[in-house]
Amino acid sequence: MMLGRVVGEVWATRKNPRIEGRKALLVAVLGQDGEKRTPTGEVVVAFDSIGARIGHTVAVAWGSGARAVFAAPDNRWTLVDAAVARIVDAVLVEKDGKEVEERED
Amino acid sequence: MKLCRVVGAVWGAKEAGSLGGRKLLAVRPVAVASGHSPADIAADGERPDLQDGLIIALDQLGAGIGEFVLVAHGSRVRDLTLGPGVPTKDVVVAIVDSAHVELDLLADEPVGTAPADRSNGRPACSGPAASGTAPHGEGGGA
Amino acid sequence: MILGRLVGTVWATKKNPRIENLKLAIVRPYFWYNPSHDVEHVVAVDQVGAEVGQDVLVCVGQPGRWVAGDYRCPIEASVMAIVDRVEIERGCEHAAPGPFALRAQFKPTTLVRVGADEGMTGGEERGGGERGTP
Repeated sequence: MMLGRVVGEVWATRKNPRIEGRKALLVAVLGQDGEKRTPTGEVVVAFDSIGARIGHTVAVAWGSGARAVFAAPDNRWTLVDAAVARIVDAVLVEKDGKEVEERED
Repeated sequence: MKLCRVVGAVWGAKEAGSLGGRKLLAVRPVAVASGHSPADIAADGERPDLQDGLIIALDQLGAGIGEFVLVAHGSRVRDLTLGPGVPTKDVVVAIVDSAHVELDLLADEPVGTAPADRSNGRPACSGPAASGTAPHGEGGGA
Repeated sequence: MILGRLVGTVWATKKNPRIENLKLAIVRPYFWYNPSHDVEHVVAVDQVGAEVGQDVLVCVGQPGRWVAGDYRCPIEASVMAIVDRVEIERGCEHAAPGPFALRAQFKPTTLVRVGADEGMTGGEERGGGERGTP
């Protein structure tokens, strides 16, 4: 999984019928740069089923984790590469021996 | 998959038993965005139409040096072509006859331009990849 | 998934029998995440009928192998959708440095910027008539 920030959305009408009705979001991957979380430069297109919007910080699952987000009776063949698993409100980190909450909004 | 050119073969007497004497090819990915064709060879023998990296791929189709191939990466691809247990993740899945790249499309375009408006009238040329003629579209890019 | 532009086509007669009769398209990604090799293109199987010049969504890995009802194709990537429109928050496209950032010189043809900016309302942006700024 990785942390990312939703920066955009992708609209498509002509597509594989198995991904009909799925919303595709552009997510910029966030890495740790010292104290702050900054974009690493990598961007991924992820499917969203929980209502993330531009500006949200999200946790994105990829590979078999993404297929588990779109649970189906036999989800080995679910057509998804990356999926939003959680909209992140805060990340708990340790600073100076204490737990500190870093809010993402 | 990646479009690559075969630049050599890898030979060795000592190998893992599961490799089974299969042919390993050294391939270089084609630099699709460079705008160069295979006919552009620099004075020092360097090929600007190819990227620097080298990929060692297992070949079952009998590709020769100088041919263009498609290389797929992944353990599942390996399972589907060679069977599980073969120590590779890069497999040659096709020998390319020709490839066209529209060079005009490799640069920035104004938003809202329809694909049909983008053609500059020069057709991409094609030719047998094995003969070394340029499979990429002609022109100097945008 | 990868967002990219379909820039070319590949023809091959000698290939693995499981990928017979599949249309192969060269896609140049606008950006990428964790590529298997450091290359600037992907050859993807096209079953959606995309044309050269269109923006496409490409699935890599296991989902990309599901082609025409058969999941046993030894391929890495396939085109899943033809993109009509990409909305991106104003100011985000250059906020991410690095080799696979949304490159200033190469942006989706269907890109539309959204979000408020000084002197412009959101309504002026939608409609896809804006030129990308470097």
